[in-house]
Amino acid sequence: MKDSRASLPLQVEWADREAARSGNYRRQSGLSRRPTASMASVVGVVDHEDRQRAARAGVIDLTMVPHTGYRGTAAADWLAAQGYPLPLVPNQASTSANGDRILRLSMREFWLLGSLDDLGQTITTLPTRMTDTPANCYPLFCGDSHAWLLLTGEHIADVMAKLCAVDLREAQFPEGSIAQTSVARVGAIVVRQQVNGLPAFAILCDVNSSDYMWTVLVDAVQEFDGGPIGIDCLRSGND
Amino acid sequence: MNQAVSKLTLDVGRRLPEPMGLMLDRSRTVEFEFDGRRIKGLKGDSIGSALLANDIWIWSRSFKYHRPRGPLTMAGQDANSLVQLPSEPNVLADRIAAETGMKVSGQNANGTVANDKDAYLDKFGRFMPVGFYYRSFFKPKGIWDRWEKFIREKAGLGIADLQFQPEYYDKKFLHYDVVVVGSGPAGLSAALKAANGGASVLLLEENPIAGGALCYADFDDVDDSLVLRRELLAAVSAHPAITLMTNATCNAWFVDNWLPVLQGKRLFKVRAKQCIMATGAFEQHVVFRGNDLPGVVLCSAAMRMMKLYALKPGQTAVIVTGNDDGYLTALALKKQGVQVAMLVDMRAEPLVQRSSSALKKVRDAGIPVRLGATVYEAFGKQHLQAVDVRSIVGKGQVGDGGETVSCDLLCMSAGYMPAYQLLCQAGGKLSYADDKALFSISGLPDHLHIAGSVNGVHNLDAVMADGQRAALKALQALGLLDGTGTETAESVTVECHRQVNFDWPIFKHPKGKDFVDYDEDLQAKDIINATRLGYRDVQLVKRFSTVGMGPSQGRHSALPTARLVASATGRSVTETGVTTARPPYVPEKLAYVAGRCFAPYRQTAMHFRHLELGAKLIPAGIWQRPGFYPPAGQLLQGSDASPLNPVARKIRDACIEAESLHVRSRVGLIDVSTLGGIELRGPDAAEFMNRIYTFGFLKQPVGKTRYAVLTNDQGVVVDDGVACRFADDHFYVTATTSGVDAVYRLMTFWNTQWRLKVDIANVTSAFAAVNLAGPDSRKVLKPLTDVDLSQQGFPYLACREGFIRVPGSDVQIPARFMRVGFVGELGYEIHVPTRYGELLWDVLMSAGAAFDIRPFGVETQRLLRLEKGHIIISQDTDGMSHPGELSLEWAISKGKPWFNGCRAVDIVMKRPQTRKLVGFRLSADLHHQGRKPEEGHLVLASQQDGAAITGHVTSCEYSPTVGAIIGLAYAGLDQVEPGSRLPIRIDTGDLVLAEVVSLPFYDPEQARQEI
Amino acid sequence: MKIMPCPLNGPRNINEFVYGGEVSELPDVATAPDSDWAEHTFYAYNGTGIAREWWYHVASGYWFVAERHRVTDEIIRTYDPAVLAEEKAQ
Repeated sequence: MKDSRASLPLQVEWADREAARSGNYRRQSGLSRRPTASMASVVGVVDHEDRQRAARAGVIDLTMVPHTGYRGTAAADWLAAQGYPLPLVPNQASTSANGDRILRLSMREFWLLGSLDDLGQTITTLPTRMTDTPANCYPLFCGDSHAWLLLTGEHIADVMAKLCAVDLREAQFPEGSIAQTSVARVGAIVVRQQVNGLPAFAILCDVNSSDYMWTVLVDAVQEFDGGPIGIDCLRSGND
Repeated sequence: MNQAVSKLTLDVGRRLPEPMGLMLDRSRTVEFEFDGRRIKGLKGDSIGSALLANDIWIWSRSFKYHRPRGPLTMAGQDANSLVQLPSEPNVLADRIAAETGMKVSGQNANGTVANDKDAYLDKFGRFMPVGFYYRSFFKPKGIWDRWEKFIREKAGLGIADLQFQPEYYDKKFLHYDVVVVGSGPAGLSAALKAANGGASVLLLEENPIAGGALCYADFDDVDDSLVLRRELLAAVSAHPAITLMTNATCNAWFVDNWLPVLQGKRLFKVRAKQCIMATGAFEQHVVFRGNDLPGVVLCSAAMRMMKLYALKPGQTAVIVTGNDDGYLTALALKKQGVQVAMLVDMRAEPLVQRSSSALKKVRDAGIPVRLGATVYEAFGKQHLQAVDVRSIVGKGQVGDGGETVSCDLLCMSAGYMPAYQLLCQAGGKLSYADDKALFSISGLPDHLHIAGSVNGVHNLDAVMADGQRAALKALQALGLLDGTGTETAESVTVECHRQVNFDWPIFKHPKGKDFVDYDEDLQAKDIINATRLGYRDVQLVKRFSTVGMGPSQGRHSALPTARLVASATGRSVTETGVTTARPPYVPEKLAYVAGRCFAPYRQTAMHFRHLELGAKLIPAGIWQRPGFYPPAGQLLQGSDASPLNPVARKIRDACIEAESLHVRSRVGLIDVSTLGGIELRGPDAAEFMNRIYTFGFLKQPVGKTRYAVLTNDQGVVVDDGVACRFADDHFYVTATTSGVDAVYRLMTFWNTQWRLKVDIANVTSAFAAVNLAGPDSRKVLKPLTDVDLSQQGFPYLACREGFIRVPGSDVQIPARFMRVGFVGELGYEIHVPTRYGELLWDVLMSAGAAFDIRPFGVETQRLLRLEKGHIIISQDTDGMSHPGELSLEWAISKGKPWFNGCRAVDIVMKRPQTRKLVGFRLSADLHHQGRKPEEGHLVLASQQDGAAITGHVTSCEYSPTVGAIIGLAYAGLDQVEPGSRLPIRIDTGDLVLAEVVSLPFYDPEQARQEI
Repeated sequence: MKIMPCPLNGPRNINEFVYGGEVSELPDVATAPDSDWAEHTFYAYNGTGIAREWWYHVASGYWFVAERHRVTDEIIRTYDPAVLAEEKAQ
């Protein structure tokens, strides 16, 4: 694998203005930004071919879109009371009215991924301290501990077949399926979604491995004429 | 001669008319070089077929005797066809497509293969008996070292190109309901049946075109096999549920149908719910003197030459056969204009009814037939010129007085050996049926099926039916047979009426050169002699004689070897068996395994700040951490940075010295984000901590930290950390960088059984952390936080939650603070959510600028903690270190009923202790002389010669603060009193005498960290 | 590559899992003699039959129990450890 770290810019013009930064923001130098609800931003547009690339095999770092999680025997009831539609069984995902994604990882563990339309605004209103949730419902730290990368387009299953031993083709792994597995030898959660009409995999992995995972994904999509994309082409009203 | 050859070289049109030449595109030519000669071929030619089109029959020289060798199988199944490409040795000439511009040379020749200066070795054959190398070069001691170079030059394969350019190889996972290995008639019919039954099917073919024997063989029960092939392939390619991969080799079978498939530059890891092996069978040669002469080929090879490549294999042919396929070959040769001088059938009279019709056809064609006879010897120097045909008078015995028949082509068929390799990897057992003289396979796992000639089925209609039968079994197992139909695997009739194997096609010659194994130049007598030397087991015969060890891996030698060993040892062939077949099936380039090898790395949130500061990164597990921060221009990389390079050592020592003195005198900042972190929340959190770690935690006050030691079931110290209590029901405990995953696993393991009300979360990645350390650290931090930093408000070993202000903005970073003593100065560990890690670093570095803050690396931290006598788990401990050896008795709670490893700790600490970890010091002079002890150096009981080893050095550095070399070492119990002398043997072999001192080396009153 | 059927995640390659030893009862920490602890710590049953084992799925941090044939290596069934707790309660 070609190591492109050597060519990364040491200074990124916008970074010092933002409090929160993703693990691989250096790879986003010179690209337009969209502020998220977490004192941070994600790439808006890479170039005028984003949409075509996203349709083939696009990669974007959404780590700075707020995401969180709750765990414990009381987590399901509490989340349901907040109005979230919960999947009934583990390893299934659902979508709330505003576009937040709810990932049920076990009977008592749920992760929430912020909507790409409100860029995580709703998620940021949820409590982050255990003192603000009921007993046996513990806020998780996945907003910081886990990078969120998104792989889009018609070739996503073929791209992942180079990285992951689980069969992620649509027939075996339909929309809403979750695999907690190993991707390129890093523990990861893979979720099949529709994002603005495109098939997509959300890939959540250890945030300290996000530069590695980014490199691996960008390398893997080359075969399908894919590459990095911005978030604009993934938001509704932009298709 | 040369002129005549070059004229031929240009004549690529000298081919048989269509439909011969299935592989060829006659409209396009290719041109390449072989041993310096220009070779012209057609698109679709293999290297080997193009060579034959240019009348080049010598492709290589044999391994031991340097005999000329040429095509045997034309299918890439033997070692004779190994040639050299510039960057790749051992290329199968009869498998790899010829391409324009290739530079091919023959292998294992001194000069060219046509004119090998080492051909004289053939004359010395009788001086090189079986086991020659083993028996000749081991005495006197050391003689092998002198012979090795010579032998390796004379015997060997290709040349590795050490200047090769790496290429991009990668891997891919595939999943199918049914994988069919082999696309011959059995595989094609199995694939179609399975796909029609609703399964997704992957059909694998190792050759460039699908069809197996339908591509090259003639059948007595089908007029035109090419038409049948075309129909089957059309159905396969039209079927949406079938994926056909050609040039794809299934190279092993692993448990639960996990199949590595090599194709192009990709290794596919295929998972099959059901697998059908339709791998076919290898045609077997006849063992007689000269059976390796160029011009002596298998019947199937001659068929391949004609039908795949439109080559006329010779002018005058003789056939020696033990079955009807030889008759079909004779007819095919005759049809293509080859004069068939004689068909020699080893069978006394045709054994099977059908043969009479074959016999009649051959006789009608005017081909002379001799029954009950064999070829006893082949004559010729560089190419076959004639054969000696003799009557068979007994098992392997021939009569006197032979008939010499001139010919330039001899086609052999002694029968077939199932391609059993993958099946035996799956646990299949081979058994030999004496009546059929054939091995068959049984005892396969439930989800593995077998079809076609590998299953002992040889007439075409039965082969096709067998494919369907196997597919039905797979469908049944998949639950895809709904039961409404009447069709089941059992309902398919598979009847094979053909006898294909001749039981003893071995005609040992007194003068030898009757090859059993072409790869290793092994003759019939070599195998027999191995048994006489006591190697009666076939596995031992293999190891002694090397039979089957060559590139063809026993495809042709296994069957005659089994027969010879059985006969020589008076056992049955089933009892004798064949040697174990192990993966890989064919040689596998390392690139397949090494290509796109995932090597994850982890970087902290401040990683790029370290790069900007020019840090020397060192690996810490899979993390990349700054070791130290060299001055501009002194960052060495690669081999320059090796500790063996004195310049690199000097830079390192200078950096560590400067950074450590700076922390001791001013203030330093280190990134400790890699520390493990585990969050424990819930009403039972304290009870849980109490059960896991050795210390007592029930009464730990909120806002205080406590040292947490973890022991395992054997009472060995395996991890440590700092436990912070932020609320009655909330602990945050650190763990070692490399140990945290195992600690988390252990915690969840126990709570799965205890079911305490506690949530356990591994939050290692959720927090970025720094240690701000040094006398000025309080001053740096004070303006940045509302937390009361005074000695009274936030004493040593306390912990707090609060915020870090970002000057010039309204951002407040939530932070956890703890006062720790790891480096022994006033200091604050600050843990913040990872997203703010880089901002935290920036804020502290700029707030610290007024105090001359400087970053320090993990190597410096190791020195600082050593000065304080703190141990690092797994550097200063090993798999035997119990708390007593580490002087950690104080960290073991006596008053609680249980902690992980508690009974084992009691037991090991009751036993007489044998060693203890102690501090030692040595004069700084040794450091300047480069004679500092290193980690792992041995501690001895005394200075006497032969003194016992009592321990070893675990940490050792020169400390500028102490002004001496300081270190930790395990030592015998009589050596641990301060003032004792520890003899340490250093790299030079010298002993140095270290003085045992009490710990810590620096600031024993602990005054500096508690201010 | 062997397949391990995980009760939470379904069939997966076995390299996604860590073996956690046999399911066994601890000797009584207060009363068992040292030899019982040594036996428990260092000696594993080495006969035939069905083994009941702890397995851990790394990516999901999930412990479960597998019953495996010691001779054929066949994994007969796997289940959530709640089953063990129920067994104990009975």
